[in-house]
Amino acid sequence: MALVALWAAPAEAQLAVAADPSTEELERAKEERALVEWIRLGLAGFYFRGTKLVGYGSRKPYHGIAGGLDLTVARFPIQSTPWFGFEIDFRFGGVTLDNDDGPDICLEGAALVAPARWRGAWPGSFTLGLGGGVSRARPVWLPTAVQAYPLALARLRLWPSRVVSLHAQWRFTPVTTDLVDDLLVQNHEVEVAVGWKALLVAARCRIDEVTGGDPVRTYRGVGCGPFVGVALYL
Amino acid sequence: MRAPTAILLVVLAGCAPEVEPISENVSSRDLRIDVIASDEGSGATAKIELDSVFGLLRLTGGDTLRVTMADAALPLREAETDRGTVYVAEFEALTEDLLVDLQRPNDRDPRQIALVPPPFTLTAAGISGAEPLVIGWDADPGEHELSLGLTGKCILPIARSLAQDVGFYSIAQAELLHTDPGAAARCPLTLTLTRTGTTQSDLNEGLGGWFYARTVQSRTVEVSWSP
Repeated sequence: MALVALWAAPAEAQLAVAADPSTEELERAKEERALVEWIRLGLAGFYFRGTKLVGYGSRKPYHGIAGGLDLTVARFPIQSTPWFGFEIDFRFGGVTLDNDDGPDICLEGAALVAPARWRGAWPGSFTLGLGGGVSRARPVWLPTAVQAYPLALARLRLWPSRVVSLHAQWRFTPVTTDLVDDLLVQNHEVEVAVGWKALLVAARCRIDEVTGGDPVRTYRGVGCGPFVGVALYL
Repeated sequence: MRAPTAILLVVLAGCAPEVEPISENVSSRDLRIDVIASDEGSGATAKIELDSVFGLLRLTGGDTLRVTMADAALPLREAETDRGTVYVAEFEALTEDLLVDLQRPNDRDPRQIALVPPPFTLTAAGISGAEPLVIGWDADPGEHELSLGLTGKCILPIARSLAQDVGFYSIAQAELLHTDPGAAARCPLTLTLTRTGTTQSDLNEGLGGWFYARTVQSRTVEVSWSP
């Protein structure tokens, strides 16, 4: 109907209609942004255990607990290029490992692309991201206090209803600055979340793999824990 | 440290994962091999300990320990002590240097030699009249320490380090101090001569780890003391 009206109207009216988006189009654009944007704030906890490098290349088990505040902002601000956006993630808390404890801080950013957004019975989106971060060394037993790294992420979101949302996310760090110490550090983090209106509850698991030492071994750590918070879909 | 963190640390420390003292968890560069071998003239023993930050290690993961003397492998058995696992060989006599070879499929293979002082025969004539105690043995001016000990119920024990291994020594009767006025004037004496060799070196050619060996040749004779 909108297309027919555009063809039949005088030229001035056509130009005026083309320049001003309709309320319906604005509403649709807002709903599509909500499929990919959010501000999320909550508390996360983590129990982890694994093996760590001791001495030149010996292996010792460890376990620990981490937890703290987690703030994520994902935005696709440029309307002319709605496929591209950015994300900032900030985590602040504490970690204990055997006899050591201390702060656990992380700041990450990523450029996002949302190649797929769909409407229908279960609206949703699929987002990919590439970026980097700086954080306290993960796993925390590494000799360096701070590490920097690139990261990749993928996120799937579904809305089975207007108030219930489902989220799945995978985050991968292929290498860190620990490479200068001849240690290849890689992290995988997987999160599955369920939202009800603004409330969000998630389960997270992370796998840390450190390869190095003499003899060369892979030291693995696995941690899992909950996240509880609120999510605002912009 | 705040109270909640302290509580968490106590809980974690109480249920900390146990460290299993097995060799496959320890790098050769973090290892210390200790060898204690001795021969008292009627059979020899060698005890080997694989020490680490986790304590004495038990061989696992395909790691094997081989000790050879004069190209013949000594049979090793595993024994448990209050400190952990040790490896013991019992054999006829300690006659040559010991080659200690730790073979590891997933790590460096440390190989070291424990230097062994040569065996000897100890002789001592009895003491009579005013004659000194004359002691004789097979001389060897090697890199080892030499010590002498003389004990008896009627004398205060004598313990001496001998600077030169020349094959003979004598102790004058004036040096034999009686234990107390009530002790017998003369009594049978026990004489022991000991050669001790020590070897210490880096286990992995300057890359870490340590090798220590203490090898002992000891002989004892009974000495009669008559008027």
